Amino acid sequence: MLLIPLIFVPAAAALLCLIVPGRLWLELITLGSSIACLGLGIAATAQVVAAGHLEALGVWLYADALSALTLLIIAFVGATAALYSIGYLREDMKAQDVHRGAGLRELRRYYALFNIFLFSMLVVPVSNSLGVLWIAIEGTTLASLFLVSFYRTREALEAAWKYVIVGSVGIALALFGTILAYYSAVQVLGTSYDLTWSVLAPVTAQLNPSIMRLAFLFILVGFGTKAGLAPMHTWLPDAHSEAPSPISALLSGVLLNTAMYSILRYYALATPSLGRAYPSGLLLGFGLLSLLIATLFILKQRDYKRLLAYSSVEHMGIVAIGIAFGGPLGLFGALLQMIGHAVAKSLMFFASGMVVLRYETKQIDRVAGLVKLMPATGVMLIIGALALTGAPPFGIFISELSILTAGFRSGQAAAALAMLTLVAIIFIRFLRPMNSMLFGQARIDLPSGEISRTALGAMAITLILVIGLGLTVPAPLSELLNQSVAVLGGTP
Amino acid sequence: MPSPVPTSAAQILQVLGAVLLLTVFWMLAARRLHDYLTAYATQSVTVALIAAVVGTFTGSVDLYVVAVLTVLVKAVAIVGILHVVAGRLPGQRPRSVLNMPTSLLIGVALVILAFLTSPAVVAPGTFLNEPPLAVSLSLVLIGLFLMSSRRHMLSQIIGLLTIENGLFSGAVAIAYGMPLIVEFGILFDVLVAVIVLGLLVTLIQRNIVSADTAELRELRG
Repeated sequence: MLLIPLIFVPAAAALLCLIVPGRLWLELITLGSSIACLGLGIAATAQVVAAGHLEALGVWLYADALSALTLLIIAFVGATAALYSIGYLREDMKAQDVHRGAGLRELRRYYALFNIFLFSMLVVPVSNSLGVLWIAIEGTTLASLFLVSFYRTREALEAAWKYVIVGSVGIALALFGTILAYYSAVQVLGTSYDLTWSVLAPVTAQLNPSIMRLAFLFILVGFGTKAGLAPMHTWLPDAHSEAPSPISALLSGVLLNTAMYSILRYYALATPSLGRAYPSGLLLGFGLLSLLIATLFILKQRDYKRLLAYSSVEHMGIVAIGIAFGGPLGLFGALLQMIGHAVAKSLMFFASGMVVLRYETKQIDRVAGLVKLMPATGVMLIIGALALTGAPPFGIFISELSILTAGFRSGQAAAALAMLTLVAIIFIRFLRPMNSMLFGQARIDLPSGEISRTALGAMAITLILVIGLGLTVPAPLSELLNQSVAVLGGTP
Repeated sequence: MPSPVPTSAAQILQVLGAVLLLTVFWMLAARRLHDYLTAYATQSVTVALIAAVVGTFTGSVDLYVVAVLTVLVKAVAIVGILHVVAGRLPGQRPRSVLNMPTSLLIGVALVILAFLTSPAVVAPGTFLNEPPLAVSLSLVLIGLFLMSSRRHMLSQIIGLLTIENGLFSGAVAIAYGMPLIVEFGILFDVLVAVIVLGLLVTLIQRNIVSADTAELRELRG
């Protein structure tokens, strides 16, 4: 019964945001609803781990370990992004009158859309219907579109247009994949059946493999567009860099993972009838290409938010490679990579948001002396960067090591070596700009000191998780990961 | 298993499929926004008729509902909204990066490609009907081509909607439709998408004073 409020809380919060009188109300409602979602998500996860799966609202809602894992990522980054938004927007809009007129309207729009965006993403992992899943993914694009274009600059509008056009084509292809998946079971279940995971789960081995093959291809290209896999990633760097930083964190840390979750679901659906070779081959191809393209663009990147965006392409590529290598170790690594990336990347976008507010530029070479001006932000930025590039002892180090081990063990040494090389190049090229931003002489006209305690609080909470995940994968999380691996068919 | 298609229905479906192909060539030859919208309205009504014909011989009431809703949502509401948006963009002609004969030739090539490849993607022993699949695939390919070769935002939206119509007609002709609630969801989604896209076009128009995507060339690398 936890799943129903989990979905309705952010929907109700979005409606409330349209009517409440002032800024404080908007902030409290958004923060309250996202924290409630996190609480409900944790409680639902506990129940899923204990009971195997949850169902609610008749045939509509369904959650197993894989859903719960995705749910936790969404709810956690959602809650920290809500807290961070308060600090970020207070500073960002301090020159405007936010208590009436245009300023308040803008703020109202931001918080209402924030809640709708969260709602649409939360629907993805708990939806039992493949059709509703598709609708929710399309919903995420529409909800986040006007958050991406929030600043209404020429660049932001261009990014929004590219985002919606590329995203919609991807989504259309995924629709075809969904139709084909529906059709693949017609021989077993008849022409009209409920298109849900729970109905399909018992008959996965009897699905028509040749239709499933086509379905998976369309799903991978379609949802892969939203997951930021190359070469369909073209919208991603623009949208991530032009959006306000809390939204960048949500896009990168959460939205990509919900799309990846959908791909994983279809992977679990397709493999029993289709075998592992075909889906894994596709995932490996897209994964390596994403990693390669991310490396090339990171090499010459001059804008630090775009740098972070290409790093998202890199990490989604690594997740795809992890699934392709497969086995308990590869799948475990892929899922852990999703979590590790979500927390480290949201921390990085939070920190970079503070840098944007202080330096008023996104150019790497125009930022220097960050540690002196904003010591706390600077330290978090460097810890986030180390965690993100897979330095020990952080979570991504463990997940990348698992994925590489899985690759070598499954006899795909060439692919594993390619991944290792590219990750090593990124490690070096990613830390260099961080170094130049953190140290050196700051412009003397810039005031020193942290910008917002609220935002720092959100960053500190995220930091605890970034460090915590490196020291240990706690037992309940480890159990959840193992159960998710089992959902994906990873247990021998 | 879906029931076999009666000959008379199959003939009607073939005619409707041909009409669908005509509408995309109409778009390829279009010089004014108005032509795109009329072609899209015709296309949507044709898709609705396909759903109704399939509904008749399968005895599925759901498909009649889908047909009626398709006409209301696509041919009436969406076309209406796009007319309003077009009205806010006075004097802007939809430009293409290619001239019209080249566009039409590429269109023909894409249709041939669709007809050549669609039997290949359907393995023997399955019961996908080749011609409907090829027509749907043609719509998808030409929709993609419209999106990549037309610079006006509304033309790109029409390209997107054409892709969607292709997939929708494919779902009806191949799998005899999806569960009703999913069809509702998809239609609702398309409607919301068009409203949102219309708002975005207006926003861009107000800030950049053009709906030509050639103006959107800032973000690279």
